[in-house]
Amino acid sequence: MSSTRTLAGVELSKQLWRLRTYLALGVTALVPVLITIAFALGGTSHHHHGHVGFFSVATRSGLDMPLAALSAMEGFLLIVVVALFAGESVAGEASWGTLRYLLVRPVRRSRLLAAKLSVAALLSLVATLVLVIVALAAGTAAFGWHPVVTPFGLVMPEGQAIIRLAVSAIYVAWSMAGVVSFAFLLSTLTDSAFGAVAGGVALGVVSEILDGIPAFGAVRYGLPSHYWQAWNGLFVDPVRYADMVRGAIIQVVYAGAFCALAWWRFSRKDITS
Amino acid sequence: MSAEDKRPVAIRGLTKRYAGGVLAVERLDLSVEEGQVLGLLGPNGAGKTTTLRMLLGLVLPSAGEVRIYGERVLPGASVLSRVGTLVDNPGFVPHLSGIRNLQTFWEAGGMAWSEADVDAAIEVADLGEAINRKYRTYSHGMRQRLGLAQSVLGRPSLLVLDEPTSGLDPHQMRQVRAVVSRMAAGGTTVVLSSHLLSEVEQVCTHVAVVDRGHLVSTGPVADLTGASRTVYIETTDLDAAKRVLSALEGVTSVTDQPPGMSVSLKGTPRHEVVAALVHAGVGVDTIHARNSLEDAFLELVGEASP
Repeated sequence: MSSTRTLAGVELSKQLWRLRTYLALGVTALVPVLITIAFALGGTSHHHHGHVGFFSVATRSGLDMPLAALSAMEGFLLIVVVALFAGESVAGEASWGTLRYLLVRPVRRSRLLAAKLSVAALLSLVATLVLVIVALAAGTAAFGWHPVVTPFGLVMPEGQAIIRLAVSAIYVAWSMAGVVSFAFLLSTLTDSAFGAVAGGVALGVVSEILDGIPAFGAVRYGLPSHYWQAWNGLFVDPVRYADMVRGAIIQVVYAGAFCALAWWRFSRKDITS
Repeated sequence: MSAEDKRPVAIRGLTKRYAGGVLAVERLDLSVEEGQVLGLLGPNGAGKTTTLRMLLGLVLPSAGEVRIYGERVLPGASVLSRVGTLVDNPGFVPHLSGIRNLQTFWEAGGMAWSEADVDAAIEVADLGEAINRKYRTYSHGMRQRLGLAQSVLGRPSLLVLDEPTSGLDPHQMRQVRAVVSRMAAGGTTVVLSSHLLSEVEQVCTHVAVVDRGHLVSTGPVADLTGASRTVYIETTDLDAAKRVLSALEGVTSVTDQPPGMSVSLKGTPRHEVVAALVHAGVGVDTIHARNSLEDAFLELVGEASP
């Protein structure tokens, strides 16, 4: 073996040798299975009282289950998982005492950050895909492969539904960009991995709380979580893309700002850990 | 580029003021020549660690510069590929084995594992089968040895060690010093920090004494200790010995230290003192140098005190 591995490859293998990575992905996979089991045991009635959105139609088709799971998990569990991957990435090294040994190598700090961020982003994407794929498999096993019935009264053939589901998954993954880059920024500022993860989660949760208070008016449109559910627009007729585009752009702004700050700060930081 | 510019370490006007105003290092000039083993000696808080961290590009200087083999040290400088280091404590990923940790460290520098000279490092680690165990199961001494093994990966031309024996028992200290001596014998230039005078005296060829962020003295260990030397002597006839020594040029003081005496010498070699005593018919039972560097050190650091 005489080849050199890329920095991102080294970083990725470090994460793939960790039990924690699999625990986080495992929980992400487990919850859709639990939801599916609960619905399967809850009877075949198509009109559960109190269920809203995709949950009201979750048993109509296996293809409805990933949409229900996305709705249910996007607002908290997914935030925790992606904040974990991003918040741990640099601060975790500081708490192990390995950060200084990464930085005494002939590698620019910005390259290290790029490798770390891309691994955190990749794992976040994988978590979203795991959620969707497991929910799709469990839902299909329990409720069969039928056209999707949307909570908005639309019936959509399987082929079209699967493509829209894929787009929704990518959109949700990208919607996490603000949380990921904020947790990553904190990770470069503090030596406490826990603090960085908690900060990332807090950004998402606080944004959701503020978004639920009408008194904040137009300010809410600029919150990172405001358009998190905008992928629902793919399941109405006619399709509504506008909010998805706004949501995607808002993430670009947040991710750009947090990452720029992380790069600026980290390239000047005295490493005393 | 002249030979002078290619020195392993050239530090000029190095100053570090941390956010919050603490002046850790001030206008420090220091150079290390090829093959030297330089001990950075000073009390805790003297600025040794900050100086070494600036040498490695971990801490950014407020003023001045550091050059290694002529290349200015900035974070990630390419010349760092020639430097092996142990800063403070070893730092490893707890869920990876010792050997995988070494590989991860090495490859994170963008270098091929096959060029790491792994066998030599494994020999330094001296962990046997335990090198395949997870790092979190290691004892303190094993961790320190793995840290030392990491620092010699790829046969560095310059080895920078910050307090390499801190927290070790005497046996482990001896192992660490043996590794340093072996690397030095192989031509590696070494810079190590220590607050242990005996350690610097044992392993270093040169010493730089720092106190409160300033360089107080620098030079060969022998020069520093030679400047002021105290010996302890036991003789067959104490009174006769005192008379002889008092008359001898280069003896600055003679103090009783039962059963012998403590004699301060300025420039007079020990063998001449012994010869004078024997010539006068006084038998010499014991003669040895007292903590000479300690005396020199306290003198230097004491002089710098306000």
